[in-house]
Amino acid sequence: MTENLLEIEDLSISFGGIKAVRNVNFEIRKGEILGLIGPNGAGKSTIVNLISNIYKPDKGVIRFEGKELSPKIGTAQRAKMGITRTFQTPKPFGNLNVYENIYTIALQGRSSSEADLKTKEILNKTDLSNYENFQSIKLPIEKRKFLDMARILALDPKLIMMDEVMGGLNPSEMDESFKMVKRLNAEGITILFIEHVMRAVVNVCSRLVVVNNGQFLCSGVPTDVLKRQDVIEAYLGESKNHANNK
Amino acid sequence: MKNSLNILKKLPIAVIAILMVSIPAFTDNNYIISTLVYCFVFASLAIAWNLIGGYGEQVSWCNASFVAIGAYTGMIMYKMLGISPFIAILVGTGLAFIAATLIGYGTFRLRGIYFSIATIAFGEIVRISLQFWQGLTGGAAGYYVTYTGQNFSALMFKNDVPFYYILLALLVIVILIASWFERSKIGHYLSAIKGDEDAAISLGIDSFKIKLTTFQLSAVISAAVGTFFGFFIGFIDPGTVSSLNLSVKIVVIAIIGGVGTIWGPVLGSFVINILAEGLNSMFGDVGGLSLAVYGFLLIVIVIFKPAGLISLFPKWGNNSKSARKSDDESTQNEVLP
Amino acid sequence: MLMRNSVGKSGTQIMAWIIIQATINGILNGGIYALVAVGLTIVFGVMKMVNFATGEFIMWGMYFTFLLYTITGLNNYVLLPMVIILTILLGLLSYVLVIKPVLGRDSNTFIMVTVGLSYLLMNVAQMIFGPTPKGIPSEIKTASLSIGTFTVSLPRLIAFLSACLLIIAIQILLKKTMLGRAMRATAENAEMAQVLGINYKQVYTFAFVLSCVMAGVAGTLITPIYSIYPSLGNIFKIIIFVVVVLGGMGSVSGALIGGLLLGIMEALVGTLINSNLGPAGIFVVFLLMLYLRPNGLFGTANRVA
Repeated sequence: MTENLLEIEDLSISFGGIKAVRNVNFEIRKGEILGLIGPNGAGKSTIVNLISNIYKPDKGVIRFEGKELSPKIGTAQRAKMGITRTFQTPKPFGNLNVYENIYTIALQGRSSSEADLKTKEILNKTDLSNYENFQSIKLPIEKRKFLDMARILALDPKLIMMDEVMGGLNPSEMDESFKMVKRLNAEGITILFIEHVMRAVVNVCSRLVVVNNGQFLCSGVPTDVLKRQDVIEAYLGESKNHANNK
Repeated sequence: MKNSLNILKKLPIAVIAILMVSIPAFTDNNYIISTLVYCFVFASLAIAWNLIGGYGEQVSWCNASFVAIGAYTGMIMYKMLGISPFIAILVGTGLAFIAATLIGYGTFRLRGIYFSIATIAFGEIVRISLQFWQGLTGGAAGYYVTYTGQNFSALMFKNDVPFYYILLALLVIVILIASWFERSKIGHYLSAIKGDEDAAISLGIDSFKIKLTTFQLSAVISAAVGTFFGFFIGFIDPGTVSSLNLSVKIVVIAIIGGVGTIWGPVLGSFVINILAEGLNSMFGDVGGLSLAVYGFLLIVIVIFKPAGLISLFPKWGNNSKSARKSDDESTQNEVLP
Repeated sequence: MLMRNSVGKSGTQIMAWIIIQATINGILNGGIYALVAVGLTIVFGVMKMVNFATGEFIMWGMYFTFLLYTITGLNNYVLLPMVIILTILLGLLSYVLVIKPVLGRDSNTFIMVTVGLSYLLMNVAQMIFGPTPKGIPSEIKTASLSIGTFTVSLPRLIAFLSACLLIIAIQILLKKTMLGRAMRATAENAEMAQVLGINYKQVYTFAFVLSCVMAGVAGTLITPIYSIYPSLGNIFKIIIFVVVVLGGMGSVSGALIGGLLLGIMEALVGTLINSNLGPAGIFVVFLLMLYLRPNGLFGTANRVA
């Protein structure tokens, strides 16, 4: 029986009267690639922000490896515990080159020579060895996403929450990313995959959780979930709203 | 780094070091010695400011307050309790440490602008307090220690030459501390925070603690320099030592010299202090001329050479810690964020 | 502050009177702080930058008034339109030479460059006019109204009412005119505003010059109250930053209320504790607020860590 890496119980938060997330319950099982999907504004990014403590919940509990995560445990601490996330737009340390971007993170809990070794190892793993001395801001966009990932790997993460990493990639770049995600998962890293691009979701995720209007809708295997009437309606509702707002 | 580059880099430093050490042997002119002491003092202060303001991009406008805390503590403890400034320096730096902690606790979880403005407010509180506590500090009239003969432990000397060596040694120590800082873990984490604070936090870096520690270090160094500086100038008053003007001078020196480098602030200090003396001798004591020139230079340097004068000497000024995102063309955008 | 001879009044009544009188003075002063703070907060809202030279535009407003008075002999209120014109020129000059070249760079750059401008303006004033404080003789300098047992200084009252009028005018500008809407749109989302066809450069220029004018006007209004000297800007600018930060960086109503509150606080501390500590009282309150309400009185989320 696979254990749960992360459990969310009754999680809720409002922003100025708008209930962004309402009584959401689900679990992320160890070793899985869980897709978190739903129409725009459903609350997916908010959930990620709650897990990483960018926001503190109004109500509810988050458990990591069975132990409750108090809101006092900050984002940086959670990252060191193994809870990591990417951002929709990559955020390199613009003043540093690619090597230094990774090395600085690898330094945490390591000596400088250990960090150097780890950095070189990660550069290989993420196909960035040729870019070692590049100024990180000069990187093309898909390489920046790899750099984001590379920095996270320097933390030996247990969970990576990938927030819409496929945006802006062409099909072959996307295929490269699928391979990368599956490679990471094969090494034992659990992945929460927030994504809009259905091709990516279907290709990569072993299980899906659907949220709509801040609430949990359903979960299950992709083939089942994507056929469900209520899921289709949630997305159709989104396109109807778009049409109305024109 | 290749060995030849290392020697190339170290040779000019060695030459300058020998030069600096031997100058007092060549000249009796106390004016020159005294001007150089000012250069050393402000170089140290600018390097200390640069830790938080350059590497950390958190602009502090109250480092003069730490100088004043060091100066007043040293002089008051000597005059009232007969304690040597070499011991009082521990108290002065301790107080500065506490002050920096208080400011940091209130502001480092917020955007940088709150820190900057809080330092302005703090600076004024210190200045007004020093003026107000006349019984202890002499108030606006100032504080001084009477010369009672040569006494090393009381920092009293016949001329300024001992101060020259003491403050030169202190500058060397500060440069070593800054070099260590640049290469240390905290230095690396700080440059990540400067690069993208949100990303750094999401990757395990406790940006609050890092910024706080850096600011504490900056304050402690400034107070230590302040203790010696107070005895050097012999007479201190809140309006001069604890003023926004002095804090601004420190910032101007660091910026003009080259933010985010070690030798930049040193160069800036020599340029500004010698310039100030030059203006003084050419135009006499025209109130405000040097400050107007500082203001003008600050504008010009920031617009045209934001990396500072040290960037004219690439081997000395170029390191990744001084690179700023905004200097790169690809990130210049037409519309402000 | 003059205290009337209050024979026969009890201690509490005297204390109450002192507090109310101080509060009145504080509100009047607060109006001026609010006027400048609103200008500063508009610049912050639109350009996301703090203009460190604000205090110097107040000071130059006063020196302009002084110059014009020396030439024409007219009182400061009549000279207001001329001062406004001169301040607009100074503001435009500053904008073009100092601000425009650094648009698009980070906010620390803006602070540095306006610090440079501040010291330049301050010390050029000192070189031209000298450090000795100047004053403009005014018949109403010591004039006052009596409301019950309370004294209301006439020049302060005029300054306060003018400041209120101006702030109302600014609010109308912001809410009802095209230009105002353009400014608010740019403040909200500069990229979107540009896409919608708003020329952000013009908006920036206007916002900056507007804040300079508000500072200059404030300067003219206070010439019967304060003497003029080059470093006067320092005092005001510090207070005003505090107001802007407390008010929540970009909130006009925050700047208004913050200005009034700080004026009251300064007056109360100055009267009840010690007149020299008035400004220090403001700063202590400010630092306390940072700990307790880090988003300011009205501000939006500003937290980083």
